[in-house]
Amino acid sequence: MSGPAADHTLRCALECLLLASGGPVPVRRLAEVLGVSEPEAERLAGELAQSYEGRGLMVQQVAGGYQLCTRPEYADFVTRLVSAQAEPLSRATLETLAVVAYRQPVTRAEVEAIRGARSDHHLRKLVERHLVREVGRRPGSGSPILYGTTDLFLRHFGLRDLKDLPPLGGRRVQDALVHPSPVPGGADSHEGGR
Amino acid sequence: MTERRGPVVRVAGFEGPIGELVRKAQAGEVDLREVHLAELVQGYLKTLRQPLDLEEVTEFLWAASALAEIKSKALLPPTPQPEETAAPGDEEDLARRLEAQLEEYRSFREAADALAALEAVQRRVFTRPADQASAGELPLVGVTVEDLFSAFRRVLERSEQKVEEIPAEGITVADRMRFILRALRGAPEGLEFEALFEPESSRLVVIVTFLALLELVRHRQVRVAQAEPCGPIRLYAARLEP
Repeated sequence: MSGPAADHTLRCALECLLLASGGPVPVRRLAEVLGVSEPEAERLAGELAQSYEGRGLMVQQVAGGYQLCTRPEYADFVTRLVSAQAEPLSRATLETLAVVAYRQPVTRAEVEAIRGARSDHHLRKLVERHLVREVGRRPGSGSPILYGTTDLFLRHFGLRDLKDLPPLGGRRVQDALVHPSPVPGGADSHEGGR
Repeated sequence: MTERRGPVVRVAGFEGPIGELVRKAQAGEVDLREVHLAELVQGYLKTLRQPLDLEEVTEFLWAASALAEIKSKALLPPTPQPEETAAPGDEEDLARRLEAQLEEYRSFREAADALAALEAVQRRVFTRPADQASAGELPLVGVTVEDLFSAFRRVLERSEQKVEEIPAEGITVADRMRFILRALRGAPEGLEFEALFEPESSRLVVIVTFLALLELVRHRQVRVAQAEPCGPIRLYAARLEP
């Protein structure tokens, strides 16, 4: 399949997939379902996003995939119909989350050393809200729990991936980021589109 | 009065303001290995009077910790130190380390601000809620609330057959939540719903246990499954994963 007509069909199909799924659909899944390569799927999604300009909905690139969602400008209307999202996080909890996000995988003691304050309560809260999870244990004395962020974390903040995090203190964030090591059991428990 | 050098301390080998002892120890005029620090601290504690002079106590604490650091260094075998950091004195070094740590913390605070801004935008973005059928993880598999309630009613009826005085026991939902979790932890293959309730359980225990179960389901700590309609309802400890 090629040519503008085929492209149009694929774009429409993609639009359907995003609506049917609700949440973000990973690029890999989109490519599989549409029977195209991943760069091709990205291109189609980009075109679809453009075609939504000036509309109430938009196509957002988030958590390694794309989602169809409402534009923030219209949130006041939407919240009159459906209840608002969960409570925003408190300052201290956000701070804790920031340390986990940039330093993952990280132990509670390391988080506390940076914040200079106890953080177990905040970590527990973040795990409860599925923004942070245990990703393993550090070998060595006491084998402390290591924490990392989840896919829901990316969605909660509208981030494409961890490289999309705001730069940390002037340095490029990519330099500051330690990439999480792969964990047995798999990290992709939030795949949509199934 | 000259500059304050902290409270006067008295210990074998030294008598005077504690700040002076720190200075002498740093200059190598006093060998701290010969000075009994515990004795020094105890001696000072005996002189303390209410109300505390906080400034003086702080000075003492500062000086005593400095002494402890110097002494521990003197006692430990020397470690090879990188040349450039050893020179200008430990205080500057400490200040630099603190500054670096503060700088790091500040950058995380800024990152937290940035995340807060992102969150504020993303909170205004809505996706279509996933349909019941396609929702990833349902804590109730094949069980309706009615099923749960009729099972509850059966248990209630059973316990009603016995005429019993309700003892004023201090039974709480939190207690029963712990009880259920403990029972489920001991049963990896799950437990039958009715197994949670002993036949002789009082009505109050039954009700509180049921409330505790609902609470645990709400927290997704317990999973409830029913293989077929009207079949037995089984409970499992939920594995905690996002």
